[in-house]
Amino acid sequence: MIAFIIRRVAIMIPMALAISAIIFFASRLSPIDPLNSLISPDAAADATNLAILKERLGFNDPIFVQYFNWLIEIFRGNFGYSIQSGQPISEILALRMPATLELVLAALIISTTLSLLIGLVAGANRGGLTDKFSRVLAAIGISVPDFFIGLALLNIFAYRVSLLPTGQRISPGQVTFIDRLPHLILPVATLSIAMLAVLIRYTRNSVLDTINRDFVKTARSKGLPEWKVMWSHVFRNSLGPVMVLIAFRLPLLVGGAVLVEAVFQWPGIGKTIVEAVTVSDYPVIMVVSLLIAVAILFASFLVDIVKSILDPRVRLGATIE
Amino acid sequence: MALESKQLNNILELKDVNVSFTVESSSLHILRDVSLQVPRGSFLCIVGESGCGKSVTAQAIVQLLPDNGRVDSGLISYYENDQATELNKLEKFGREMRSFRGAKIGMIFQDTLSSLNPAHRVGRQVAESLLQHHNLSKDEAKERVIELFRKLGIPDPERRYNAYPHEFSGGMRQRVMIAIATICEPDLVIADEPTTALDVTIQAQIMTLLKNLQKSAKRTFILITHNMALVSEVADHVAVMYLGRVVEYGSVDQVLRTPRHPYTQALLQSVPSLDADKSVELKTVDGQTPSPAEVTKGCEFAERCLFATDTCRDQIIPLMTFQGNHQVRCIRLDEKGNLPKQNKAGSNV
Repeated sequence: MIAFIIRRVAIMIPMALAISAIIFFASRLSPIDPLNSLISPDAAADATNLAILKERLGFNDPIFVQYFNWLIEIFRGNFGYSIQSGQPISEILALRMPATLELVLAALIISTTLSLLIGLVAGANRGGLTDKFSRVLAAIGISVPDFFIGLALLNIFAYRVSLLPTGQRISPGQVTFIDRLPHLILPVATLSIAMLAVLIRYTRNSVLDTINRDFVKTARSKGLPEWKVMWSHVFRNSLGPVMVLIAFRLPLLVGGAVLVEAVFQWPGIGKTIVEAVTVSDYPVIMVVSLLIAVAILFASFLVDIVKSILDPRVRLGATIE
Repeated sequence: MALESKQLNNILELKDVNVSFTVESSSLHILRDVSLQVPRGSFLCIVGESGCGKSVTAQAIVQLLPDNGRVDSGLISYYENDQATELNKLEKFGREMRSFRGAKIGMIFQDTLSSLNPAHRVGRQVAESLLQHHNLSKDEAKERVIELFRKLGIPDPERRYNAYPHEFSGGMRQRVMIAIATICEPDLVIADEPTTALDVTIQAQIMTLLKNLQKSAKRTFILITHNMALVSEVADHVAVMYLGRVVEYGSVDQVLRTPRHPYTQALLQSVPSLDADKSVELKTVDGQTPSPAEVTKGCEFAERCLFATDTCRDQIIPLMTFQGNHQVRCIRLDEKGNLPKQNKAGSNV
C-alpha cells in the first residue's frame, strides 16, 4: 500500500510541472499585451516607457528563464501581483478562498449525502417511488444548466417572494455567520441541484449493476437477510465508481463554481477568474489555473487511494513489477 | 402430513414445476412440468446442453431465480425427518426460506471469480454464512472456517483466511466456494457446473473432493453439468434435460448403459472416446435446438428425432416408467422400453 502511494505521488510531480509549463507558455501566446493596461495610455504611447517597463519586469529575458523564475517564485510562496489591482495574488486568494470554500463545501456535503441516500434506495427498489422521483430530479438537474436554475431560484425566492437576498455573501451591517446564512441558501441550493442530478443517476445505476452480479446471488444463497445483502455486498461494491465522481468534484473547492458565483455575485474564486479574464489579468489567471490543475491531480490521487481501499484488486498494480 | 415410505427416502421432490421468464413483456416458458426425485444421500447429476433449464431448476429450488423469472405452478418439496416443506410456497426472502438457504441447502456456483465478492476477504465470506445460522462468536466462526479450509485442502489456511478472492487460483477459489456451501453442514448441496471454468487436472481434484464430501457426511448432492465423463464417475442417479423438460431419469447404469430416450442416445453417441476409430466422423445430433418460444405441446425433440411420428408432435407426452423407476418421456417405446427398429417412421403410421 505504501509503495502504491509513493509511486502515485512520484507520477504526480512531472505531471504538475508539465501543466505549469503549458499554463505559462499558453499565456504568452495571447495577442493581448497585459502591459498596456498597466501603464496609462499616454505613457504607453511612448515606446521607451514600455521598453523600460518590459526590461524591469524581466520580459526581455529568454522565455525559459522567465518560466523558471515564475516557477521558483511560486515555490517560494510568491504568486506574483495582479496587474489590475497591484495586490499580491496570495492576498486575493486569501480573501476570496473562504467564500468559495463555504459555498462549495456546503453544496458538496448536501448533494453527496442526499444523492447517495436517494440513489441507493432508488437502485435497491427499482421502479419504486424513490426511483421515479430520482429520475425526474435527475432529468431536470442534467438538462437545465445551473446558471438557469440559479436565475429561476432568484426570480422566485428573491424577487417575487422577498424571502432571501438576491446575492452577495453578506449585506451591509451584518457580521455573524447567522446573518450570512440566508445569503448562502440560494447559491448552495443551485449548486447542489446541479451536482445531485448526475450523482443520483450514477449511484442508482451502479447499485443496479451490482445487484445483478453473481456474488449477490452467492450472498443470498447463504440465507442472509436482504438488508444485509444490500448493505455489505451491494452498497459497498457500488461505491467505487461513485467515489470517483465525488472526488473529481473536490477541485471545485479551489476553483470555485464559476457560473453560480457569477449569477449570485458570490465573491469567490470563480468570480475572481471571471474578473481576471475580462481584464486579461494574466498573473491571476495563471496562478488560479495552476491551483485548479494541482487540485485535480490531487483529487485523482485521492480517487486511487479510495478505490484501492474499496476494491483490493486496484492495489495489484503496486505489487506486480 | 404423514409421508409414504417412498417419500421418506427422498430429500427433495419436484413435481410438475413450471418456470417462466418475462423477456421484453412476453413470457417465455423455460421449465415445463419438471419432476424429479432426489433420493437422500445420493449423488444426482442433471445433464443437458446449454439453455435446457438445468441451472434454472437449481435456482428455482432455492428461490433465487433472476428477477424476471418465477415458478408458475408445481411443487418443490423438501423432506426433513417426517416433515415436508413446500419451498416454492415460502416467501422468497422471508425468514423461513432463508433458514433453508445456506443451512439446509448449500449452493456452489460456476464462475468463482464473479461469484465471490471481490471486496471482502474470503474468510469473512465463508464465516458470514456460519454467523447467520449459528450463534457463534466471530473467533469461533473463524476457527471453524480455518478448520474447513484445511479439510478442503487450502494450504496455509490461517493466512489465506485474510486473502482476497483475486489472490487465489481458480481451483482454490472453487474450494472457498465449496467451503461457503458446506460450512453449515447442509443435507443438500447443489453444485451448478462447479468445474466448467477449471483446468482438467483441477476439475478431477474438485470432483473427488465433492464426492468425498458427499460420501463422508451422507450428504445429498445435485450436480449440474454438461460433462458426460464426469457423470459416469460420480453420479448415482442421472436426469437428462432437453429444452426445459426432463426427458429421462434413472440410475446411472440405466441412463448411461441402457439409454431409452432418442435424445439421450444421441447425446451419448456424441461423446468422443479415446479408443474410437478416428476415421469415423463423430456423431452429432442433426438440426438446431429450437428456441423455447417456439415449442409446441408435443415432444420438443420431435423435429430432430429419427423416430418421430405425427403423434409425437401433437400429443402431450407422458413420462413413462420402466423397470426400476427408469423414467423416459417418449411414446415410441414399447412396453419393454425399446425403440422401434426402423428409422424415420413418420410415413408408415
